[in-house]
Amino acid sequence: MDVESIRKDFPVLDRMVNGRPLVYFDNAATSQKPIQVIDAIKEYYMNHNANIHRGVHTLGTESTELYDQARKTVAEFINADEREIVFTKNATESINLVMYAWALRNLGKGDRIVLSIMEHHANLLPWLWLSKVKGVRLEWLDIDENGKIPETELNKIDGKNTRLVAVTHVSNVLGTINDVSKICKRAHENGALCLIDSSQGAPHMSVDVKKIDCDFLVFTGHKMLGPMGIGVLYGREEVMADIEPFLFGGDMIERVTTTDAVWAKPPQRFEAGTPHVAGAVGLAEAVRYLKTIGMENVREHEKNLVKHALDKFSELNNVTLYGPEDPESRAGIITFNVDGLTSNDVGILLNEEGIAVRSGRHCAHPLHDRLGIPSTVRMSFYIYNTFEEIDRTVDVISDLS
Amino acid sequence: MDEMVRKLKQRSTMLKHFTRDVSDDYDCFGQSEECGEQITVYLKIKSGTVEDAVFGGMNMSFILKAIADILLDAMVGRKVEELKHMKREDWLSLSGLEHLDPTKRNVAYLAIRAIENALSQC
Repeated sequence: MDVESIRKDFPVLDRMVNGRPLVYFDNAATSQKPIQVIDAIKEYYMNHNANIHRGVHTLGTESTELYDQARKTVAEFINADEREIVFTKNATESINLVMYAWALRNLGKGDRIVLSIMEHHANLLPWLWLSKVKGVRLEWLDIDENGKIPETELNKIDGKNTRLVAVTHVSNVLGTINDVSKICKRAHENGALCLIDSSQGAPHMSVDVKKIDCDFLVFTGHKMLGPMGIGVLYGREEVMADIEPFLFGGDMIERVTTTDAVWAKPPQRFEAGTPHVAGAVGLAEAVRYLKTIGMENVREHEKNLVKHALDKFSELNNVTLYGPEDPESRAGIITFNVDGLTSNDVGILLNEEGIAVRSGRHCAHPLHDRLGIPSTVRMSFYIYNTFEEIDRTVDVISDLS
Repeated sequence: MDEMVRKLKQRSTMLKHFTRDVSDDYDCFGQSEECGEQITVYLKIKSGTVEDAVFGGMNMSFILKAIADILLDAMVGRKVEELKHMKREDWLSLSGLEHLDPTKRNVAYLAIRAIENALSQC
């Protein structure tokens, strides 16, 4: 994998920030976009733009084909069938779709949902709300001192009314890669469905929904080189077939009378209204870009970056690190605090040097409470990051306190 | 480190309005919070004028502390009614912070929100 030639595809990496070349370490929040994706979106609007499905004219047909092709491309990316891919706005909407369309209508008092304490609010608040309105009980898988879910915690997934297990693939704070296939196996053995939030997984490692054996898997385009505003819900065909729609409107029916309607089959059933066609086209281009590099190579590169960063950080005596020490079980995320400084101090001081990190609680308040800390600084890597960028950052941090 | 950060860092070591211990004779207070950083502003009012202003909080960055201190300094002695009508930009120019870069401007807005919340109670 040739990082230098990859970097040339990302125009924004040429930017200077505060007089220094930009170091972009906020990839867990959103990734940068290669010129190929930017061009694909531009090309779509310049040459094909039309609404899809309805109409017989050439542009409409081309738009429809591009949208359908994007669905196929995304399906192949995670080894799913194209009928199992619903395009949404983002991962958050994908999870809300499952909550409103399935859980709200099927779960009630006495039922349990098992989550982990490391969930991003996107995979926490929908279920918290459901627990308030429907009396569903939430169980939390705890973490050990390494930021991993110990196997004994999985005993909370039991046959006593566990209906759904909703767990993140990769922690957006700790970087922990969870053994999601084991979690889903456990869910299925106990008659529960399994939802995986792969927002931090799918962009960075090979994801195979058949191997994971999940019922739902969600991710978002903008964290994997695609545009903002396009997300994905994978829903296993047998499960989705029985779920009623969540949004109602154009394009999601077979036929309608004044007294009745027949819903279209999934995925159209869940895509009411005009979708984000240009977003889907851009996401498909992003998938092609990643496939050309190879997801195994993406993962290998990020693992090497994490290993290098962990080594470098271990030489600092003014820093506390959080998350697994072993790069094998950790995605490209380094989360830490600097003695005597708040996370925002560190974020602002790094920005002075042109280094973009995220500070705060990263939409994971319960996890920070669990860790007993108010906030953290997060560096998160992607394909275009280099060892030199890590070194430059560590140099600044070592001078901070 | 640029000049502004140096100034703010220095200011954060000699705060005039920061307190860890608020007595209960303040007339109004307001809070704001973002991503684990929290600030509370307390105001003492006499005849419609801000007589004293202090702030406290949790997990505050030194930049937030310094900016809050500068903002509170600028409001002491001013009429509550006049301050209530100020927009965010007015606060920055009132306290000589109009040249903050966007990153630090965001920090200032967190402090300004707490001040506005306090004023709304006066």
